[in-house]
Amino acid sequence: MSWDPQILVFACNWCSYGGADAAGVSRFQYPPDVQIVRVMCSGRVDPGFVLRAFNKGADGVLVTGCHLGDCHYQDGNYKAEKRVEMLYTLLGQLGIQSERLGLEWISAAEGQRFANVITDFVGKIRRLGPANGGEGP
Amino acid sequence: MTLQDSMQRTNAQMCYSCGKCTAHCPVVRVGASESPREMVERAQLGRDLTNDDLVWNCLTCKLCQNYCPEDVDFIGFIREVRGLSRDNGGKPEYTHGEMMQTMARIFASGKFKQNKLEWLDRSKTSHDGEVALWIGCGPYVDTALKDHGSDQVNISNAALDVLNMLGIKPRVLDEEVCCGHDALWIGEDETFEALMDKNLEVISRSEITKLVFTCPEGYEVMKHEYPDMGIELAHISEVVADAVDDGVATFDKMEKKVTYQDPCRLGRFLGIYDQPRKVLEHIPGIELVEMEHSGKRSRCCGVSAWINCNQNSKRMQMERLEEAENAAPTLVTNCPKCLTHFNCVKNEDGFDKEIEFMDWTVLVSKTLRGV
Amino acid sequence: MSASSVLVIGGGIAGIQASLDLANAGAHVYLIEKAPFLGGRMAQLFKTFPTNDCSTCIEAPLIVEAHRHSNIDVLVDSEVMTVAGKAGDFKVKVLKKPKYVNDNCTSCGDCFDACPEAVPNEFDVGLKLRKAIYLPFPQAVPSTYTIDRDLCLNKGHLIACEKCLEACEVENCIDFEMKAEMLDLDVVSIIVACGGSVLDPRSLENYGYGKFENVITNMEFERLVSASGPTEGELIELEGMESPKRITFVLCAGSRDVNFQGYCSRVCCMNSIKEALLAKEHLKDVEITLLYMDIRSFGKGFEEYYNRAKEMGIKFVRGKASDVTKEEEHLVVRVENTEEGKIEDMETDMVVLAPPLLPAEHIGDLAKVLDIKLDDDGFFKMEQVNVLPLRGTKEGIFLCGVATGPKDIADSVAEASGAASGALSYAEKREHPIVDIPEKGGEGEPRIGVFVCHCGNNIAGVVDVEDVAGYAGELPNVVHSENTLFACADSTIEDIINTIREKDLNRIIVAACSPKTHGDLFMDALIEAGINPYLFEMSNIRNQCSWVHADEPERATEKSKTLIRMSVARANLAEPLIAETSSVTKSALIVGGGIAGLTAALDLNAQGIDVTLIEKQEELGGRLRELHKLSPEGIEASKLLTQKMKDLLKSNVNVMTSATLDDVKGYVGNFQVTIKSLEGVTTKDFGPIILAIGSDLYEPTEFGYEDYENVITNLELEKMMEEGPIEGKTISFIQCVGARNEEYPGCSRYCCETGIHQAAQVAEDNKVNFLYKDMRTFGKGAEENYKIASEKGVRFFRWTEQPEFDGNEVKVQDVFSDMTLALPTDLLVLSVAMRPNQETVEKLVEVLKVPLSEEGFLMEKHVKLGPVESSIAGVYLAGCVSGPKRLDESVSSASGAAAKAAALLSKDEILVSPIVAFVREDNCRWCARCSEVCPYSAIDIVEIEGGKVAWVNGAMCTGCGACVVECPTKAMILKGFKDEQIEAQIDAMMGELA
Repeated sequence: MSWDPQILVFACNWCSYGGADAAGVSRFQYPPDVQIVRVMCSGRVDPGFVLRAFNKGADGVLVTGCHLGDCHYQDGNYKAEKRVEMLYTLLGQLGIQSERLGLEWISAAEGQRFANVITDFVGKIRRLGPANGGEGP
Repeated sequence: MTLQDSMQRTNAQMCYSCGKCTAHCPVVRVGASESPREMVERAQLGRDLTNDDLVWNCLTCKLCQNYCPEDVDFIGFIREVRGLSRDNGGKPEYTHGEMMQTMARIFASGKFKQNKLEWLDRSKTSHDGEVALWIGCGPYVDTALKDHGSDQVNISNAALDVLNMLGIKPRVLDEEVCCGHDALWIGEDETFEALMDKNLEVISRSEITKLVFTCPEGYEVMKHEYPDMGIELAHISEVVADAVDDGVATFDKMEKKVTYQDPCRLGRFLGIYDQPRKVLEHIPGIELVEMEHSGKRSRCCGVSAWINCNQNSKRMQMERLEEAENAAPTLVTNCPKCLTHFNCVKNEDGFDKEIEFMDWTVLVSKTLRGV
Repeated sequence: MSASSVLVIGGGIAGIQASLDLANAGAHVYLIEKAPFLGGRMAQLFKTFPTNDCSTCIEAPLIVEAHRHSNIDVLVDSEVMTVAGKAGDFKVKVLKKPKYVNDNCTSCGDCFDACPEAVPNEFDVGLKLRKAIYLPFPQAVPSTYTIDRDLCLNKGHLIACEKCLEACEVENCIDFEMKAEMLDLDVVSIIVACGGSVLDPRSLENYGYGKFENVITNMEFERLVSASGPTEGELIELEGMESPKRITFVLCAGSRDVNFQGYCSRVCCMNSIKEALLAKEHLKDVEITLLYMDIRSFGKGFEEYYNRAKEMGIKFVRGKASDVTKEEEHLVVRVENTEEGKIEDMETDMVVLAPPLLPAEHIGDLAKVLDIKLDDDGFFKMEQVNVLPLRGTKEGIFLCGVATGPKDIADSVAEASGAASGALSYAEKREHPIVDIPEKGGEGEPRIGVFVCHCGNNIAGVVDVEDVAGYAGELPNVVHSENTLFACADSTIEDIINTIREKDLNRIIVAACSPKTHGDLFMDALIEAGINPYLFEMSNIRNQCSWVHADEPERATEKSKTLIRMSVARANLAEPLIAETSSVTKSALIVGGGIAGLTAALDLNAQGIDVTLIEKQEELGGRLRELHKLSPEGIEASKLLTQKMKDLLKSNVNVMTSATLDDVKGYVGNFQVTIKSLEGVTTKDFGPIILAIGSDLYEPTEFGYEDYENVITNLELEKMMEEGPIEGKTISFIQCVGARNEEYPGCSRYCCETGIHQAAQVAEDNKVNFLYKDMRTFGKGAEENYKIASEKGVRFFRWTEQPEFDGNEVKVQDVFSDMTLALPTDLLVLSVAMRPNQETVEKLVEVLKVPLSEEGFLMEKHVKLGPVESSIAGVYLAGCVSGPKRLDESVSSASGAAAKAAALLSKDEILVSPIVAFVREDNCRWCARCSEVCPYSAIDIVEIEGGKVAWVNGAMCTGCGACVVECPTKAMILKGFKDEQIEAQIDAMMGELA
């Protein structure tokens, strides 16, 4: 049976969401397995959101923000990085492969990069298979 | 289930509004807008309790029940009202982005095989012994709340040392999942039942005869809420106290003046007051000084089940720590969550106490010198 | 309105910044741009140094703001034809050329695909094609397409090509009959922000540009590495199309060269280092060499950037390339490595030239129209180069950016704000748009209306729009759903407004394009319909769906449904948000009475603003009092200062000397400042605070300064020169004393120029040695003074190892001669570094919580685009408080800070964005984690009845949400982005809709 992954992407308003828009303007194609949730800053992404998504059935979660040093709010992306690192450990403990969580920096000008990042991430999640695919006890 | 059923089951309908519960309730003391008595009265009048202040702010510390002349199981009532409230769209104020609850739900779903024992030194454990040590949620909490000073794995490690010292190489059940205590107490019955079923299966398959806990919550919920598993359940302080009674435990000297925090689950729920004290008093150099409220009257660490931590919680904690500071420079707790909560407040603005926190098991592991 | 209008010529970053400062201060602006779009050269850049910020990302929001600002009329495709009248009453004629596409354009791009004619796109420096009807780059604003009639086949209706017209699905959009218009504008003052041009590198014959494909300019390189450029950031050789293995950057390719341009172009060193770093990022193994004369990394953070490039293995060779030739497959650059004294023929695959920046094309014509003078270099002449750098030679005309000479973005932006300050003094009216934002709409059950856009064929060509609209209509709480050809068309906006009223809708979802480009348009529609604009949601089913999933129509349709489901989940929990207002105390405080403080005070006074200036010393004037003759023209500092003091006496500025800042409470618009003076301690209220606290100078311990009487600092030399002639001595200067070392990497920016100026003066009657690391004479006229010094016989020695002095001789390892020389010296002059004004900075950190750079200067809001603002709202930076500056730069930044203060003071109350954090007090345990993570010091722990809580100052909060995540107890809420809303979106994505 064919399976399409459910992937949640958090995109910060100033850089990555703009990058996603720019990908569209330039018609850079990527797989439709992702849904974008806009937040003002990647530092707004609560680790609880990520756990919630996995609990609700997401196969992958990608947090995207401004390049380090570019944050519209000075250092929100460093905060995001720290939280994602904590989540890598936590997901590992929970038995959720930590590769299912991604963190990427994409600027508003990087439409191509946005498409590439999504394509790669979707490819990775497809290779990993569904998040409950035989991983259960 | 209806409110009426709950009231019958918990004796709430017997309440004759004497107000003793209110007088003792720690949440009321620091400023709750409603008292246990008022809530029960509203229930007797058939009012909707979904958004009542105490539904989620009650600590379920059971202090009120010490004194109730009508034997109302108020916290049992609260637990059931929480389930009813949920059905009406009510929910608690989850702390830490709802991470703890979400994790419990993830375990309950059974979709993932957890991997929380990376830190474990397997040489301290056995594969087929009859005694097992319950690990619980410490490893996750430590990861998620590192910034808040959570240090619970340390307690499990200390327990392994203590048991080894007493000649026990315990098993660790790799497949144990969350005990479900918090899910049960926040009215998530489905989550609790799913977790319980998994643990029942894991424990029965393991063929152990005794399960030792460092966390009173796991102990309490398995003793009172799980069906009888036909095995012995014990808190680590009971195990050590037995060894002291048998005259087989010896201790190094430790010069320390300490006071002891009775965790509500270990104390009022399980009646274990004396054993931990007995061990402390047996350690040469330890001077145990009781706080103003101790034993059955002991006051709560301020938060329960990772919900509704707030202004009032901080007030309770500061008051409790004031008592502790007046008693001794070191506060010994016997519940990993108490310790996490106290460590958290220690890092906060406005903390002005000169006090050290120490877990009971960790303290014992530092002085116990074996049989 | 026109009676107080200001004309801004040029729509690059300087013109945009000046327009925004004027408009935000309530003046009306005509912003004239020759090109069809705003953005100028900055829009072409991929990244900006030294932070590698994405250029588009930081400029685009300003462009959009300028374009949408109700106080700014943007006139693109326009040129100033004549200017008559005088300051306060200029009559301007502007020619507006036709675009042939009107504002109905939805930027769908259908016409672009249909157009048969293509030429190289100017925006990509010709490396990519555009059509006759085009948008030069995706983020262009205005985003209306334009027709290049020189290229269009339909020119003069010679050939009846109307392919674009046929492809366009919007009614009344492309209009071949559009005519040029002549506009008459009445303005009170004029700002010239016309930018510059670049030397045609073909004239640099030896470098082979135009002859060899792989010899390119730095701008071509920029487009090549740009993610939005012709190769999507793939760095390839133009000939061979492979990745280059070796790249050689040729700096000063025509600058600092009497055959081309004698002056320094100021930006090329840093820009080339940036591009070298970008190349390194793209191609890890690429070998990069920079050929340079002096690395002029003089700005804040620049030296560190240069050091990073060296650490990354980028090779710096000192020498000016002599020629570029081609051998077989590769290029050969010939250069003398002057540090090693040998000629090198460097094989390379790509040569990147840094040609000089020139005055704008037709600057002479513009000068005639404006009746102002040009300087010797052909740029607009400043009224006075040290203290009136932003004034043209005619009253009422102000200059900024590259109009007066080469400059980087940060300097241009600071000048633009400064020019705005000057222009504002002629504009009497201060008007701000009054928008009455309705509060209602949140009450009762959600009644959601969904509008699904076809965007012509852009969405409907992929997504089954009718199916999606039908699906949306079935979702809970959705009471209206329809599909529409163009959601942003005027007729649809009308329809949305009417439907809101008729069906009593209280939540609106438009499923179309991006909220970033179109959100405001629809929010305005909600306002018009009488409901709160924050009850609006947008589902981005074009940019983030149909356009990127063109080959998967079924899945794109499903995805569109999911996106709308998620929007419904968010909308269900949306609340009306009201921007809170905060009053403004109509009085400004300036801390520091040096030239920066004086300039800011006089600027504000000229605008009729109540100003208090405090100075901790007994006398005003600051460092300027200690200087003798100023570089580059030798004008006496005391003359300039006397003039300023006269102006001050005539003004209403309230001056307090021997006064210091003791405490600051409050926030933007409402600071309560405690001032200590000889008369005692007073507390006064101020709206803005301008910090003009100057800098300290490094006190040397090296070179025997403490032991030998004949070792003095450059400042002490200034005093000696003032006291009388110095004759018959051998004087040695040592540069970079206390700067550019490990402890303190930054360049002090002022000292090469002043050192050269001093050296040239004393060289008349003395023998002079000048010992330097890199000669950084980048300011106006400074390079020329360097030449004069050489002519006067000053001997130059370049060092990397620190020289030594024994009281009689300076021992230096001279790089050029590779010899250790002993230079007999009667007087040793140390050019000392600027350091932060330690004492005052410490106080500011204590009372204002301002963040500092590693070197201890105050941080700007943004190093490129916010050079005169601090990260604390309402606190502005003038002069050396934020880092070393030259005199004219201090003055420009002081005027810039004055413009920001003026904008704040022009308002009776300030609106605070409603997307701010908010504390639920009951849940707060005042742990202070929120206030620790807040980058804007917007959160305090405050006493309330019975305890304490965190308190968010809405005027300072920017809505980033960091505190919300940090809050352990859900006490902190981010309005508009509540946890519950994001959680509901996640649940809805997985199919759960509450």
